[in-house]
Amino acid sequence: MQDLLTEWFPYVMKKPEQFLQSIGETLTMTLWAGSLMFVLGLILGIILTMTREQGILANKAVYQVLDKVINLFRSIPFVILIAVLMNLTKFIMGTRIGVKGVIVPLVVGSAPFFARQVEAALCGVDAGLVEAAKAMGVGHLGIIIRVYLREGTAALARGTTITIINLIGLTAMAGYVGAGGLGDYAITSGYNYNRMDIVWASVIAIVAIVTTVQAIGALIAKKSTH
Amino acid sequence: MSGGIILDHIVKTFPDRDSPVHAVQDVSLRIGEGEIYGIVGFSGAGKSTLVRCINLLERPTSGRVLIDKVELTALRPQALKAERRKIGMIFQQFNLFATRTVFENVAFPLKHTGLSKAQIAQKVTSLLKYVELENKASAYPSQLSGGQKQRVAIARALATDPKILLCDEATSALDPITTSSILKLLKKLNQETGITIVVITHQMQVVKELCHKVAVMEHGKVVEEGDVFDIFAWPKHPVTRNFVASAGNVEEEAAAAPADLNDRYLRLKYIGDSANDAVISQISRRFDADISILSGSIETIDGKSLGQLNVRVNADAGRLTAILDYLKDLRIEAEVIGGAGSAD
Ligand SMILES: Nc1ncnc2c1ncn2[C@@H]1O[C@H](COP(=O)(O)OP(=O)(O)OP(=O)(O)O)[C@@H](O)[C@H]1O
Ligand SMILES: [Mg+2]
Repeated sequence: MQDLLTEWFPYVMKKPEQFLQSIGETLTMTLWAGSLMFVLGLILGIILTMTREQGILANKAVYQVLDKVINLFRSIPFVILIAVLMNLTKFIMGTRIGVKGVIVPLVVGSAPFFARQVEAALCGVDAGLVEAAKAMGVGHLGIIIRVYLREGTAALARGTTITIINLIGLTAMAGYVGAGGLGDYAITSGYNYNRMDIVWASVIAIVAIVTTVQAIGALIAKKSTH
Repeated sequence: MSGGIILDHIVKTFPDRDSPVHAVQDVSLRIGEGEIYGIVGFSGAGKSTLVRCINLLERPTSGRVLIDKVELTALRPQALKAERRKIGMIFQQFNLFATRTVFENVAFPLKHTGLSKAQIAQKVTSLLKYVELENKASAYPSQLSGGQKQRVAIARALATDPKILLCDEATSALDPITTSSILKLLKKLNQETGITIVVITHQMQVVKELCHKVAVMEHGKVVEEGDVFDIFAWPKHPVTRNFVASAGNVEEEAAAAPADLNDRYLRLKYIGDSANDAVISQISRRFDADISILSGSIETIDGKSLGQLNVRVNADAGRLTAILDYLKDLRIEAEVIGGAGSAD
């Protein structure tokens, strides 16, 4: 086994701790940025859904502003976003580099996309259910939690899966601010020295992570559908 | 008057880009406690909008809604929420929560009402027993038939012990037999608990089997209103006639029949036993007119019987007038609905 690995992935096996560290960095970035993105995107998505014309808190001004801001951030390429957010990152995290330095741009880069996913999921909840809950005397917060989020769980799980997979893609660019990760490892240690085994090992690791995320998402979606 | 509903000059206009939609135009209704009140009308007449104004799912553009003398339209949101718990509502599409079991659906409105878990369980179980679904408590809505879904929706609507139940086309998605069983359930509910029921429908069967009173709507206005029996017996407005006639249609027969210059088609109506087939032979002998019975029926509407006979009379204008006068004396309502001599 050991021999086979050494034969197929000679450069990876020369410094296996570097490979493992890169996986660790990718997972750390995904977990932190993913959690923050989830909370922020969920809140934005809920506000979008509630303030749209047919929403329970219809408010044209709030909706229009949020809608435009989200579109704006979605249209900025991630690499540029890192640069644009430099000062904000420094202010919030105390540093512009490393895993810490990339969390802010990752969240800002993925939360707007997730907000759209949440909006789509919640808009898919039957208006009749909202109506029924209203008629039962349920308040706005109750309608959001007990109707929208609950009945939209399966769609939310699918939207979360897609967004996290996108996020993992973004972490590949974390090397720009020295945050490491599998993307950085594949390019700086592998591709630049023509050590293709490092590139392939990174690809396999990322595919494994993505597949796991997808499986978890599918499971949650299935469990919440009856 | 508790459980009574007063709609006072309700107007609902939907602003629209091109032209505003006047969905409800100055409707005033009084619905008494314990009544089963039907609202009928063609699609777009404003029935749903009017009924949604009762629990303020739709806020009237102007006008007042009073329930048990409490003016709903003047309440703050918190107080309105409490009032809404006293008004149950069921829908054509059932609107059950797909991710919740039958039990959880019925328990839904009981959260935050101060009841303990055990009290909620007891309440839900007894409601499910009432709608004959106690063995489906752990099923999901997708595993139920339409009729069963509507029973769950009824149980859920009753969970907070409402004094009023609003039904928006509650049986329109169901087959006739299932419809009948739901109507029986609603009737039983009304008789046993005295709950006030407001029923929107376009099925006259529903009105006939269930309602005490009925309002007919057209273009956002109530064009006719009264006891169901009277409305069926003596419909005045064309829309009402249209609905009542949808039971058995003699006009078509009259239009299709080969024209004999002296053929007239009459519809005779009488309450209870005030007339029967013997009258026909009497008239025939007395006025030397040829009368044949095309169709006839006795219907029980809200507990009273209404007889209806559709006949063809072969008589000239003079004799026809005499016949009509004679029928009037017998307190039989006669209406010329077609034939060569009819008004048009
Ligand atoms: N939210 C809304 N916005 C704009 N127009 C509306 C809205 N709801 C209803 N309307 C309009 O108001 C009118 C009355 O609609 P309503 O749903 O009350 O009719 P209805 O009698 O219940 O008809 P149906 O039998 O088809 O259910 C229709 O012209 C409809 O298009
Ligand atoms: Mg309607």
